[in-house]
Amino acid sequence: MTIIAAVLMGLAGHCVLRLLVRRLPLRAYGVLATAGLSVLLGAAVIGLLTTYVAVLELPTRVWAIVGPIVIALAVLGFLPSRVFAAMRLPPEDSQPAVRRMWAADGVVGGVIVALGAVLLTGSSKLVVFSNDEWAIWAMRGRTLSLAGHLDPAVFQGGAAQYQHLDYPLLVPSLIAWADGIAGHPDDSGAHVLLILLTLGMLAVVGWAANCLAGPYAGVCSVLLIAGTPRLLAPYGLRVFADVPLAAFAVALLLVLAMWIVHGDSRMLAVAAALAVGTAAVKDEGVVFALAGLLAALVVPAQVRHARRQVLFAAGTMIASMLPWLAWTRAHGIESDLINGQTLTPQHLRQVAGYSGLVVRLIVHYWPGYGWWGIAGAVFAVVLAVTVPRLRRLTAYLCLAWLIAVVGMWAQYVISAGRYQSVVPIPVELRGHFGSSATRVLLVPSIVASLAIPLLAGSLVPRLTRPVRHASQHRQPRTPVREHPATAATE
Amino acid sequence: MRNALRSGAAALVLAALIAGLVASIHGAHNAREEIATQAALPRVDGRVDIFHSAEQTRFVRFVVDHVPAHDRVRIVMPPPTRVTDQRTICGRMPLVARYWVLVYELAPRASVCDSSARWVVYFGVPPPPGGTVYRFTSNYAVVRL
Repeated sequence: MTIIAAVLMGLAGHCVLRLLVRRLPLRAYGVLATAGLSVLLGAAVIGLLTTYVAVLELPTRVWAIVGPIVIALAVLGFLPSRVFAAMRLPPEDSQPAVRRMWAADGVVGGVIVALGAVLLTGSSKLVVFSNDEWAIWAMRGRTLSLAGHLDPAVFQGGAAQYQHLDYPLLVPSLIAWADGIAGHPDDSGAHVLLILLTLGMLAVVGWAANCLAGPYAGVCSVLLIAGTPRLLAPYGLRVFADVPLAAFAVALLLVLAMWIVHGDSRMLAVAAALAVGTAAVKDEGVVFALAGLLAALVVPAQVRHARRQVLFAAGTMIASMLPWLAWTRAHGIESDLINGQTLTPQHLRQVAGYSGLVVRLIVHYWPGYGWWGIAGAVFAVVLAVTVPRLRRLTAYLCLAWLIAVVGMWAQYVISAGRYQSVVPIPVELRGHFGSSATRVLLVPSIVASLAIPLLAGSLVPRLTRPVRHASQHRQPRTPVREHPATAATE
Repeated sequence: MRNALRSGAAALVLAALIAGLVASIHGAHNAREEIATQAALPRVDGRVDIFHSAEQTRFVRFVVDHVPAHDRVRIVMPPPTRVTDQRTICGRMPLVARYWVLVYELAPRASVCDSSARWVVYFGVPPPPGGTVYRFTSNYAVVRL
């Protein structure tokens, strides 16, 4: 049943991808992009559908509404092209941004298959057994699947200490999806769907990095992300939202980079859909999605109406959030961190004095490869700014990273002092960082790591085989040849 | 200059590749350990003993068997011996981590504080006299209001 849940999710995502790129994704962008983006977009579809169904007070059990729509999308994705032509979607004249690198993509695919085997073998034994799983994510997912609606006692139940009532519903929706397809609470199914999001991100990153920076960047990016401390385990094997959030946000940032570098407007459409998914995972997702979109607004692709297109993508993301925001506000639910109490001038004046402490705590708790990763990224940026062709990509990555870090810094500063009647603010801040920083700072940490393959990878000369022509004598071997992307740039 | 740039870039990518390879092998190893740890979690009657107490885990099954799925419950637990969290639930201060486990295990029977509760779950606390008491042990019982 888990396989059926996963396949239906991927096929629904494939349909959305086909609608967005207006071509057969497999033919236009290859296996890695199609598989990775389909999984992520399928999860976004299930998350959004369940959310909208829930706020409309319709049944959230899978077979009532969400399941039939997902199945219809899955089938639609395989209908002949003339069906899509009959939909009269707006024409798209630009060519898909494709660089066929069979060997490089194959290596990336092999690494992802190996990681998938490691993560999925024995996944039937995975259970819900840690605090945030039962207190937040699985609790909400089980209520959607078992109660079959947004039970006000749970989703508005602040008095009974139900946690983070403002968090959006993508992860609980996936849990409910796995339960619904299985016909009973299915811990293993929920884990598998979330693991697939991680693998989907790796596929998108490997494909995009190969396209952006040549054949060494893909495998290097995938290994760097997979090796990020705590990402595969424990976080990737728990029913948490942090790794799914990283999956959507990192895929979004890379697809936006594809648009900026290649000007393929289809990539911006896909990025808009990924931004919708990013914002639907967790509150911090809005910060990360806006970081990518704001950076793309400052450094847009060199196409007509580029900034207008980015604004449209951002508007799509914000519009997608409105039903959930309206429902939570209508029921007096606010964020635990950024809310009417923490956004008052008096509170902001009080906590401004802790800005420096928050910076020091970010430095102390920085996850991933720590400051070695940052040093490598800085070195890659220094190398890349000397190359005119790479300056736009460099500026985009640096801006997106900076906005994401500043956003997280602001969140920690503003939310300080919530429990000052009980504990001193510095103690509270240290506790808050200790319990959350290695998870919520994952995205900027991964972006910093990716700067190395994306920027330095573009400068590495490419090893190629000599071209042999049947009509000519044997060609002299030229073992080192310049990567085509690096030619005539310095 | 160009050669130095490319050499620097190649060295950086090679270092990142090696670091990523080593770290991802380490991550994969951790993942296998995590899966093995979860597979080896102690079980009571086939269910994971997430309370680390066979009595409490069996009591949850007892409650689930007695309380209809869509009825609401009020939970009464003993206060923690050491206060690490100042949160109160229904005017009491329980050990919140254990409370959340119990609430999760009882889903979709929502935990409430108001009069919509049709049952009271006494988890580690003897129930007072009155009401229809379904007693599991002296300190674990569910009372129909």
